Amino acid sequence: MNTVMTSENLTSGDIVINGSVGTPFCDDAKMSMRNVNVFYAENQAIHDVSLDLAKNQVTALIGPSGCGKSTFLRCINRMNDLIPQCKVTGSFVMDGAELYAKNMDPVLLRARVGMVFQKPNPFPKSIYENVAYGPKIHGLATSKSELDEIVETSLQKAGLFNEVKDRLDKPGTGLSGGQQQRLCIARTIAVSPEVILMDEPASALDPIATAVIEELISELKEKYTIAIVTHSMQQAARVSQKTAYFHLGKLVEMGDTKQIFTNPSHQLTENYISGRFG
Amino acid sequence: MFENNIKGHISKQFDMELETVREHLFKMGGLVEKQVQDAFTALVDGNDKLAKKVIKRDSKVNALELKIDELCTQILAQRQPAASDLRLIITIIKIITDLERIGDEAEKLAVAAQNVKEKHISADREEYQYFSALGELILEMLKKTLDALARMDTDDALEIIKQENEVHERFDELLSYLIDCMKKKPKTIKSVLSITWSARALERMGDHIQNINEFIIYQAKGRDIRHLDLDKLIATLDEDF
Ligand SMILES: Nc1ncnc2c1ncn2[C@@H]1O[C@H](COP(=O)(O)OP(=O)(O)OP(=O)(O)O)[C@@H](O)[C@H]1O
Ligand SMILES: [Mg+2]
Repeated sequence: MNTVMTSENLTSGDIVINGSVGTPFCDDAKMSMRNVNVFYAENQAIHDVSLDLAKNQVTALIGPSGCGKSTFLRCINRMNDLIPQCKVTGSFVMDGAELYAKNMDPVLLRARVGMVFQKPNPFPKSIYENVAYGPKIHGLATSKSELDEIVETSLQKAGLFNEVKDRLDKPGTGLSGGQQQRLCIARTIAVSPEVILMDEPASALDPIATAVIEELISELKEKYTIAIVTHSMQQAARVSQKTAYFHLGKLVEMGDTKQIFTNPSHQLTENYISGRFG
Repeated sequence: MFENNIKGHISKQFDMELETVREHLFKMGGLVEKQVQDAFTALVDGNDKLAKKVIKRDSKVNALELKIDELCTQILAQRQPAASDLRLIITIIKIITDLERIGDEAEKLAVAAQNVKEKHISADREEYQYFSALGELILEMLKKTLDALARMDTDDALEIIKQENEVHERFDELLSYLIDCMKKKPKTIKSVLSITWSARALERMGDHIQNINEFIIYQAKGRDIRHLDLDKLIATLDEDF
């Protein structure tokens, strides 16, 4: 497939997106988003999206470029607060608490709901410091040895410890792309989050490094609730249990990944995952 | 439906690959139909030459199965098809196995035709009618199945599936007649047995035809309807028709 799919060229034709189909809600939700709308100044990027993130499962958000996946993901840990002119409405509830409530501290929230970005972005500091930074500012360690232990277990969970244990004092930026991405995952895990958001975490990686990250995601879901944005259909099919298909800022369909990839209900989902024009 | 299923990918190359598989599938379907028709004729008419032709042509059916398998494997590896594309490839891989088996059963008829030295099933004999009734039913079902396959027509596929009992009824009729024959005229046992084996081959073709129709429905509806009894099947399909 050489053509890049964007919301513009993947027209919905006469197919109307009238609410979403499938099963966007679940009984064991870690997070419940309802009637979410997002605006960048005058432009509405997300239209009335409601869905759940199931506890200890991986939810994949897929859809053509510009359909609002990253925008939606950023709402979940209030990263959009940092973008001027961005306005978010609707409700975001995690374990019964509204994320946009006045008394919710966004900095603390971002420790509970961590984010891993497309491009690995380690701090220009040592590998150790990259991982230790979060626990330090959140006061998660009372002693140096406790901090050491957090750094080691985080690196271990991220599947990186053995590769870097002899050079923890070397700069994180000196690692390979795949190692840097795992370092960023270790950094995210270090503050003991409950939810991990990943925005195309493997798009800059080779197939081996990608497989390592995917394996890691499968292991991490035992402890965390994960949402991942990916442009790779195969990746979504491999790592996720639930898949949500976005189109032009709307949630078109959500359901079990198995069903979405073998027998989607909506024509637009079918067109997208099988590589057809709408 | 089948046409739609193949066209419209952003990758025109992928469209072309699917089209190639489709052409091969239809070629194989047509060939198997001819095999069954000729084998049946050879047996009924005692046409030794025609029977030989059928036996020789079976290798072509086998070669087509291998070719289609290879094309599908390549598509799975290179295109990683999803949704209806995935179901289409799976359907084709399954269907060609059944087509190939129908071809094998046709070959059995042809071998039986050769073994029959005199004209065992000549027009004036009663078993001819029973045997022909079964053979013609199978041929008709096979033709309709290949049509339904070309259009991925689930309504037609369902109609053919509903004919299953008819096959068994005609087979049972023929069988009880043949048993009678054997009882009354023990001398005919040898020839009657060979008709029995041929009838069994026709009945098996019927089973493979049903498998094909079940896969047509799976491809179009995304529902696996194998191993459902007919009432349940119709109820299931009614839900989403
Ligand atoms: N900071 C911003 N300011 C203004 N508009 C934005 C901003 N970020 C995103 N948008 C707009 O919001 C819409 C959704 O963008 P978003 O980045 O969420 O899409 P996406 O699905 O993540 O796309 P991609 O797959 O290309 O990453 C787009 O029309 C985009 O132009
Ligand atoms: Mg994005």
